[in-house]
Order: sequence, then C-alpha cells, then structure tokens
Amino acid sequence: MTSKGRWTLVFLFLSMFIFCGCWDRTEIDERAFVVGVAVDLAEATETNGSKPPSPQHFPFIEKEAGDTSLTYTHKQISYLMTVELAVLHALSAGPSDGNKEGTGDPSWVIGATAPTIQAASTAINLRVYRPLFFGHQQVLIIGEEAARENLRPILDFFTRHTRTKRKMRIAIAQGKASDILSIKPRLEALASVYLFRLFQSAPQHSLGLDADLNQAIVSLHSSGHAVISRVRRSLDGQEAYNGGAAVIKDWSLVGWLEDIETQGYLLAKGVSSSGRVSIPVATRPSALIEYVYHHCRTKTNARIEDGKLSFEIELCLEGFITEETAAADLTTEFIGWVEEALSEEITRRVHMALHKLQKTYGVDALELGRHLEISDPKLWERIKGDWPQLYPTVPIRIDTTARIRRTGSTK
Amino acid sequence: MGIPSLTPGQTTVMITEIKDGVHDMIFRSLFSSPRARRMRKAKPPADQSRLQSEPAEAVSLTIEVPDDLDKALDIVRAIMCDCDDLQVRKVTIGERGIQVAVLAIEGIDDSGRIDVSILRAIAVDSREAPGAYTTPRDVFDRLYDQTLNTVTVHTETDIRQMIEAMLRGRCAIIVDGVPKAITADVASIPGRNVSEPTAETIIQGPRESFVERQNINTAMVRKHLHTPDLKLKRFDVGSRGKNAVAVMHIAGVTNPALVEEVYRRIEKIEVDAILSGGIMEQFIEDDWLSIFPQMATTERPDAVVTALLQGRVAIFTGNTPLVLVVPTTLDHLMHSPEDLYQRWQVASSVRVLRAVAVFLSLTLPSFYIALTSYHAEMIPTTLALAIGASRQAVPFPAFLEAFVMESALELLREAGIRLPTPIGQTIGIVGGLVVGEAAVRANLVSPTMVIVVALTAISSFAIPHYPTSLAFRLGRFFLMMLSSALGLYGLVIGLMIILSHLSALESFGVSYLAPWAPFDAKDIKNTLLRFPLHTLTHRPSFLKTIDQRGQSDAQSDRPKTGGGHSDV
Amino acid sequence: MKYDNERISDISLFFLLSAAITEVGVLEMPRLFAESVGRDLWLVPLLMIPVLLLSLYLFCLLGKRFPDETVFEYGPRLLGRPLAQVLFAVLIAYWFLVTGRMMRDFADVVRLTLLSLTPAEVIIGSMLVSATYLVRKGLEPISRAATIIILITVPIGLGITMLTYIKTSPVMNMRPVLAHGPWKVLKEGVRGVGLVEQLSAFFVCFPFLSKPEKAWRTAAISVVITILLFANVTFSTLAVFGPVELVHVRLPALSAVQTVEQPFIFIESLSSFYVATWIAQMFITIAFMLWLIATGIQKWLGHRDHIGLATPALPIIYLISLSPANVAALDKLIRIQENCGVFIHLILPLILLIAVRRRRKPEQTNKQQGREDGDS
Repeated sequence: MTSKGRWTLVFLFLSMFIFCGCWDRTEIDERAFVVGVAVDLAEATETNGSKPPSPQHFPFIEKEAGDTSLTYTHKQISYLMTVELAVLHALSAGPSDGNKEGTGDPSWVIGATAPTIQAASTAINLRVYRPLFFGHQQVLIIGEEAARENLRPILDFFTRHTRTKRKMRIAIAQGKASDILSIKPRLEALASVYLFRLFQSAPQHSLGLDADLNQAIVSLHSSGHAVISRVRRSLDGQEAYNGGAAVIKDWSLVGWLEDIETQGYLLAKGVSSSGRVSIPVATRPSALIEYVYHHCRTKTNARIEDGKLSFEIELCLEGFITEETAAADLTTEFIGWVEEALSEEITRRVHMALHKLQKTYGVDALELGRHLEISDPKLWERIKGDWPQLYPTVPIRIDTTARIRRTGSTK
Repeated sequence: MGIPSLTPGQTTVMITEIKDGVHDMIFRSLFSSPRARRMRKAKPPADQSRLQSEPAEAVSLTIEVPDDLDKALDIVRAIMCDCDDLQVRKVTIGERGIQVAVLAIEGIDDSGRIDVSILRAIAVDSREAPGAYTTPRDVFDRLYDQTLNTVTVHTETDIRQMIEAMLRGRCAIIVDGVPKAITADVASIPGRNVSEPTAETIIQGPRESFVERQNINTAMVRKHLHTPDLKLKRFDVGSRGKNAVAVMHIAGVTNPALVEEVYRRIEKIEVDAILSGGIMEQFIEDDWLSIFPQMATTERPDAVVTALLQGRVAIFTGNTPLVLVVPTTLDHLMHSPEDLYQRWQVASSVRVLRAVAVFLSLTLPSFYIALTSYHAEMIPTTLALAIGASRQAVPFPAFLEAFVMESALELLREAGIRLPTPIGQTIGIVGGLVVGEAAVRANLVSPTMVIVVALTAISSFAIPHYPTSLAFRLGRFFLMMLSSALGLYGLVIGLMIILSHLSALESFGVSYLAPWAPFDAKDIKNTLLRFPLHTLTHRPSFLKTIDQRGQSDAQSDRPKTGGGHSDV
Repeated sequence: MKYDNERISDISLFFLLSAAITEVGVLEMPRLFAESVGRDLWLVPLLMIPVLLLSLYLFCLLGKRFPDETVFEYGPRLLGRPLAQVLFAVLIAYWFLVTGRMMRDFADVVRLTLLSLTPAEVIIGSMLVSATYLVRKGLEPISRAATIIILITVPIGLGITMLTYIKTSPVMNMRPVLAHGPWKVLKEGVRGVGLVEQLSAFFVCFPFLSKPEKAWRTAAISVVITILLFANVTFSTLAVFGPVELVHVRLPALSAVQTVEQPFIFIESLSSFYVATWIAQMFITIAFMLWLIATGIQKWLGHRDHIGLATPALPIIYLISLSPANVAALDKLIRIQENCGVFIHLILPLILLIAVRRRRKPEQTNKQQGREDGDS
C-alpha cells in the first residue's frame, strides 16, 4: 500500500471530523423526556366560504357530493396537546450521600393548542427550552371528543415520527385526556409510567385491553376499525381505571364496550390469556363460585350452508376454582355442573360483546372477514364490497367448553 | 541446507560454520565502521597509535597472536585501553620458567571458577608433572588437553576473536612462545534466579519464569522436551552488542519455510545492540506501523513449549526474560497456558469471558457516549431517566467526561507502575475509590461514568497478553473519538476500520485472524471454546506443520456407548 | 513467506458473497414487494432463488471456460473489440450506479434511524473512505473481514428476527396463499434477480479464486442461505404488519424489530442495534463493490494493480449518491436498476456463452481431426 495513498485516506477521514459539528449530539440531560401525550379536541368549528381555504389553517376540506358551486365547507380543528415531561432533578435521589429526596414534582404536565400535533409540540417548545424527545413516550391518550372527530391526523404524527416507539400504549379517555395525564399516582412518580404499567397488566384480568400503537394502526389501516383501551379517571385524581374498551369505526370513536363485554370480545378473539368468571350457585343464588382461567383456545370457522353464511366460534378454556362461598362439596358431578354453568356464562358474555360489535356498531373487530377470505377467497372477492352491510346480519354461533383442572389447596 | 544441531556454548565455532556470506557480514559489522564497510577492502593491521581511545577503525580482519607474550599483552591492552576491568595474571610454570598469562574480565566469574579451574589446575599440574612443561609447545598442548578443568576449551589464533571470547565470559590463556591462545568458559555472571512469573500468573500449574541468562532459559525449555529434534540455532546480532539470539524449533514439526524466514529476518538486522525481546520484535515483525503485536511474548517456559509443539518458533534474546513466539494470531494472544491445564468447561467459559472482556475494554466507553449523547431512546426508560437525573449537575458533555476519566485512569495506571510497591498498591485502590467518589460528589463526573471506566479498566486486565491489552487501550480512544462525533454509527465505522486493519495483518505469513478468517473448521476446537483435550488431535493447520497430528484418537477408557457399567 | 494476497479460498468466497449480498436495500424490500404483489410477498425471495441460481450457473460456465481471465480479457476475443468496449463501459457504469444508489439508500436509512441531523455527505464520505481503506489491501483481507462480520452479525440478526415472531400470527397473515394467481409473484421473482447486483462480480472474480472448480457449489450455497435469511426477514414483517400496513411502513424490517417487547431485552430501541449490524454488512458490500470497480477499471485499462484506482472512484460515487432529489426519486432509481440488473445478470452471460459456443465449434472440429491424425 503506497504511503501517499494511505495518507490521503487518513487526511480525508480526519477532515470529516475537523469540519464536523457533531450535529446530532444532544446530551441526555439536555432533552425534555416526553413520557406521555394526551390529545383533546380544542375547537372544531364549521365555516362556509366561497374562497378555497389556505392550507395553513384548515386541514379538512369537505365538498358536498355533486356540488359544482365553489362553496367550500370546511372544519377548523385544533387540538390541545398535553405532554407529561419528566423533571430529571426531581426524579433522582441525588448523589450517594444521605437521603436527599427528589425535590419538587417529578412530572410536569404542560399543553398547547394548535391545528396539528407537530405545531402543538413546537408551541410547547416555546415554553420548554429543551427539545421535546418522544423516544421514551409510554402512552398516548386521546380524548373522547377528539376521537369521535377523527383519529387519523392524530395518529399520523406518531407513526411517521422516527423516534417514537410503536410499542407505546394507546387509549381513549372517557372525558378529557389531559385529566388522565394529570393524575398523581401513588405507585409511580410519573403518571404515564403508571398508565403504561396499568395497560400492560390488562391481560391478567382481561377486563380491559392492552393495545399498543402498532396493533391499532395495523387494524385501522386494514379496515378502518379497531378496538382500543378505554381509560377513566378516578374521582380523587389519584388513579386511573382501565376497564372496558373503545370501539373505533372508520377512524372515529362510535361507542364503548363494558368490562364484561370486553372480556367476551377478547375471548372470542383468542387473545385472552387469563381472567375470572363468577357464577352463582343454582341452589343458593347468593353464593358465588369464582373461576379463574389461564388458558383459552379459540377457533373461528366460516361456514356456508345452502348459500347462507354463518360463523362458528369454539372456545376451550382451562382454569381452576379459586373461591366458593357456597360451602359446597366439590365432587365430580358438582364440578361438571359448574363447568356447564361457566360455559353458559362465558357464552353469554361473548354474545353480549358480539351483539354490541356486530349489531350496535357494525364493527368487524373479530376479523371475521379475514376468516372468510382465508377459507373461501373466491366468495370473499365477490362479497367484500358488501361486507359492511352483510356483516351485521351474519349469524355467529358460539360453543364454549370450560374445564376446571384444580380446586386449590382445600377441598 | 540442513539445520545443524549444536550444543550450547559453541558460539564462536558456530560462527565459522555458517555460510560464508554471513560470516563476512558479521565480521564486517563487528569490526568496521560504515565507511569501511563500503570500502570492503582488507588492509594490513593498523598500528597501535591509532588504537588509542578510538573506536576500532582498522579494516584488517585478523591480528595474529604474536609469539612474544609481552607483545601480545601489549596488543590486548591497546585494544582494551580504558577498559579498566581487564585482569591479567602472569604465571611462571615449570623448570624453564615459561610464562603463561591468564586474562579475564572482572566480574564475569562470580563463583571463583578461574581460581579453581584454571589457576589452581595449572599450579597443581605443573608441580605434579613438571616434565610436561618443558617447551612452550608442550605447555600449550598439555594445558589444552589435560590441565584445565573446564568443559569448553578452544584455541584462537586471532587476538580480536580472543578478546571477543573474553568479553563473552571466557578467560584467555597465552603461552609465551606459542602464537595461539586458549579460551576456556568460566562464566558465572551474576543474574536473577528463577522465580515466579510477574505478569503471567496462573493458579494451578508451573510457576517458573525465564531469567536474563539465555543458556538457562533454553535449558528450561529443554527439560520439557528431551529430544534431539528440538533444535537451537544461535545468532549474534548487533555491531556493538553482539548479542546472542537463539532460535528454537522442533524439526519434523515446524514448517521449514517458517524457520528459514525467521533466520532470514534475524540475519538482516543491522543495529548497534539488541537490549531486549521488545526491540528484537520491532525489527523483525511484519508491520511495524500497526499497534497490534505480531509476536507473542511470554516469560513462561510451559507456554513456549506448548507453542513449539504446535509448530511455532521461539526466539530467545539474551538479557531479557521475555521470549518471542512466532507466528501468532489474535486468538493465540488470548490464550493462557492455564487453559490447557483446566477442565474443558471451565477453560471454555474463561475464554468466552475473555472475549467479552476484550469487547468491553474496547467499546464500553464509546457505547456510553453514543447512547447518552446520541441515541437516548436505546436505553431503557427508567435507566435513561436515572442517568439523565444523575448527569443534571455535571457541566461537561458525555464525551468530554469520558475522555477526562479515561485519561485520568491511564495516568493512575502509569503512576502506579512507577511507584515503589508498598505505596503503589495502596494508591491504586485508594486512588480509584476516593478520587472517584470525590469527583462524583463535586459534580465533575456522573456516577455512571465512574462505573463505565472501572468496568473498562477491569476488563482490560483480563487480557492475558499485556501488549495486546495496550493495543486495545489505544483503540478505545480512537473509538471514543469516532463515537463522540457520529454516535453509534461512528462506533461501528471505527470497529470496521480496526477490523480492516486486522484482516490484512499477518504474522510471518499467517493471517492474524486465523482460524476464524480464513475460516477453517478444523482449527476451531481450540479457539473461543476449548474442546476436550481428547478431541484436540491436530495441530493448527494455518501453521502448515509437517506433522499434523499431535495425539492419537480414542485415548481414554471411557466407553463410547451408553449403558453397561464400567469397572472403574 | 507471504501467501498470495489475491487468491481466496472457497470458504472465504462463501462468507464474502454472503456479506456482499446483504445490503440496506433488504430493509425496505418487503415494502416494495408488498406494493407490487400484496399478501404473497414472502414467496418472492423464494422464487428469486432458482433465477439467481440460473444466473450463477451461467457465470460459472463462463468461469470454467476462462478460469484465469476476467471478462475484460476474454471479452474482446469473443465479441470483437468495439462491442466489447461498449459492454465494458456499460458494466462499469452499472457498477458505479449501483454503488451510488447503495450509498444513498444507506445514508437515508442511517439518517432515519440513527442520526437525523448529520449531513448525508458526512455519512457517505465516512463510509466510502473507510471502505477504501479495506479495498486497498486486496481481496483476501476483504474476505477475512467478511468472515468475521458474518460470524458475528448473522446470529444476532437471526435471533432478533426470530423474536418478532412472538405474539404475532404469521400463518394467519399468510393465508390465503396465491389468491390472485401466481403470475405476479413469478414476474417479481424474476425481476428480483436484478436486486442482487453482486452476482455481476463473477465477471471478474474467477482469476482470484484458488479453487475455481468449487465456485459454483460455494456460491450457490451462499446465495441460497442468504436469500433464505431475507425470506425470513420478509416473512417476519408480514407477520407483524400484514400486507395492508406493510405498504405504509417505510422500513418494515426495522419497524418490525421495534415492536418486540420481551423482558430480557435491555435495549429499548432494538432497531437501532439491528441497524448497527446492517451497517457492518453494508461495509463489506461497499468495499466489495469498490474493489470490483477498481479491479474492473484496472483490467480494462491494463494497469499494474487496482490500488491507486479506488480513491479516484470515490468522487464519482459520491456525486451519484447525492443525485436523487428525494425519496420518491430514489425508489424510481431502484426500479431502473432492477431492470438493468436482469439484463446484466441473465442476458449478458447468455450472450457471452453463445459467443463461446460459436468460437468453440471450429476449434472442436480441428481437435477431432488432430486426434484422428494422431491415432492413425
């Protein structure tokens, strides 16, 4: 290797660093860590005008169908974006001497109003000198009104932005989302971390959802429908309640599912890993038996009989009895009876969920269309245009088998 | 040409047996200045006046020992003028009073061998057999054949060679009237005794280390391999130093081309003197611009023996306990002799740990800089917030913090080496803890940085071969520079550059990254993991040895199939 | 005692080819396939394999015929000097274009995931200069570096990709298979051979192999394994996203890795770590392409060695890499290259082989006559 060539290379290489300004370097303590974002609807006014709107202010332009006049009906929408920032010096215990507690509130909730999320975050930057860093964002809470309006522009920012994690949890708040972010939880320093853990633990009880952004976006892109977590704030402002679900149709919120309906939905979908069911004992209705299942296998089949389409969902659960207040003797027949009662109850819950999803909202959250596509692609090709109308009328049959494996330490 | 087999001690005779070209070259470098070398002409012996306190400029190659003893002594004193450690003892023997002079350098004979083996032997024998000491010729022959009680006796006709022999540790005996001199080996130059190795300690295994005397070192290797196939070849290197360099290899195992190459490189050296193995290494290595060592240095005889059996060549330089082993690979530099003595599971885990240590010592500070300054989204959230919180009060950016801490650690390390031992130990530990604590409390560095630096330092100590760990220390700074400019991307680019450099590096024709690159599945058994000894039947194939198999298969009595019981 | 620095063994070829084939384009290939083929995108890499093997076979036939020459040496003999010069210009231009496109793609990916604000010039420049350092040392060091990189990054990459299968339903997303008929997939598979640009290296490689007779087997195994790994990545993106979402995600392989959530993973943004392993493999790809360009020009113009030619090639590549104006233009460039690639990898070797056949016929009849004369 000639030395002249070698030194040319070295010079070229080093010159890049002499002229460089370390463009990307932002020290970790110079960032404003955004751990949670809440988006509410600040304003949505409709205006009529004869001039086409400038793109600056009006993100939505609706033209009436068949309208050849130059009248534009547009909605002006702006969002209130509230972020929770982690205040670093209040989070640490300080250097190793003594018990210096973090001084001050570790979380700072601050918001701004603007037509887009990006504009809002810039507006927040006018008050926070550190650049907002979304890389550790845990949750995205969307207010009820904003969700009823349209989810698409809100989610676009978070999916396009490179540093945001697709694993962040997304939920619709009943009421205002900024209320949820400003709770003061006891278990964690930051509300968003508390909410994240709350959502993460949802699979334990299956009464709420653990939906992350990726799941929501995949579902929304493929059909426009999704089922997302629903979150409410407690009265004293110290807790949030993750129970039930929010049903999204065509990118906007149409309704809620209650706790039990959510459990039915998760069971039908086959993603419920554990939960509890309680049934009253037949002979003594005030006594209850608690059953906890830890395993659920679901099979969904599409059936075509005599030109009629129907679906069949088979559930098979396994679990154990954790508590029973009937002082009953757990013999084989009794357990058999309990299993049957459980199966009925679970079927009822699934029916409740399906009724709401299918008939009330018309949202194919179980992806029955996909099952049909898989089993009979040609039929699907023919009817997929009519599926939104067809779906609410299709009969769905549920068949549950619940098994009790163990009854705990006492008999 | 065959590789002649020599017994130790025959330095001067060996010189004459090598090819003529080498003979001339050594003589020329011994006795002539650069100007004279260029002229390359033989001139008559220089006169004495020119030899006063001047480096020998004469071009003549030999000075005959004169008949007259006094004249001989004058010549010797003239050549060795201002060398006040020349000792001359004149003895008169026999009835005719023949004069014999015994010359030696002071201090070479620590244990009084000259007194016992030479002077007393002459005195006793001349009284017991006076008849043999009649003519100078008889005296000479008698002394040469019978009297002297030393193992090695030679005759010299050239005064310069006689002086050189004296400087190497022999005593010269000149008989008045005979134009020859006898030289006898009486050296017992004081030196360090064999002790425990300082830098390469192991827990279970031999604890001998090489010393500064070459003949003892080679003897320590010989005691492991009692075979005449273990060849030893001596070279004299250096125009002023004339240091003895010995090359050992096992004939029938080592690749002959490798041995030839080693000889060739050693013979090509033109320098004043070789002070230690380190200097030797820098003269004969492949790429002297690289920071990576291309020869293994060791002070343990068992490591040398293992290497020789694998097909490597060992180079012993006088006056240094470090022996060079060539060729070497990066993998070989990570091996410790203890790996073979331990059980294979333990040895494998330790080797994997060493690999992790190498990686950590090279990249950990750069990772820290890259993650905290550029890619904070890669750190788990709670940790990121904790690090951010702990760095709040620190005024410096992460890369500056890292550079300062690393440099401080290097300073501490260097200072620790120079300090006398009792103070050195204490300051090492105390310095680390206290200074680190104080720095954190003064908000000069963050606690995470202290941990990073400590972990890096500890990992670099886990590397068994010291020069390699130094290479990684320097490489670490290079990577830190790159990662402070370009984050994780810079770190990867830096690693690629280092990898490119290593890929092209060769040690005596063997790829530095062998056996991983070029990949040879046969040799993988003794690299990152050490497979059971019974499976290590072949020598490394990249050494291209003559005899590939080191041991036979199926040596244990362990039954191959399951079931049945053994009688053990 | 130096062994020949320019001849690599067959195992080295295996690793070199594996590292050279994997380049950053693979990260966005699932999206390209999803746009054109839809749900059956996972079949496309699998269908690419036979076409690639065919192309390799053609190259190896050429190599067996001329084991010690590059195309620049036997080309003029087969096709005549003017046509051969045109061919060489096309080939060299193709290699420049490919390398420029790769560098641009690479810079875009790095700026998207690791460094947002650093100018593309710095990223491209640093990569090119580092690759040139390796290229100047010869082909053997490139293959050694490739071996080490493959041995380290492939297990890591494979492990991370396997993690994306947890909690997803790959089989569900895959069905129904070939609902729209196989033709689209087949067409895309054939065009896919243009995406593996490194095959054209076999025009030049054969003199540098120590065992050219093993080249076909080694290269075939290498290509098959590497494409199977791509197929795995593609399949995992399908499992995580499904065909509809896949079209919207810019770099599906990376975003798929980002959704992995396991307790034992202590690195949050696994995709950045994944990109780091891709950067290492990309380094070898760039080094190999640079070596190809330098050696190609050297053989064409008859220089002594390729070393001095690597550095002057850098500015050209640099300018090419900066020329697409935006991401959409880059996509178009990829499509153009794909089509060129089909020509260069399939049609060109065929042309050369036909020329070989034509020249061989008169030789064979001469040989037969000679043997008859000799026997009698």
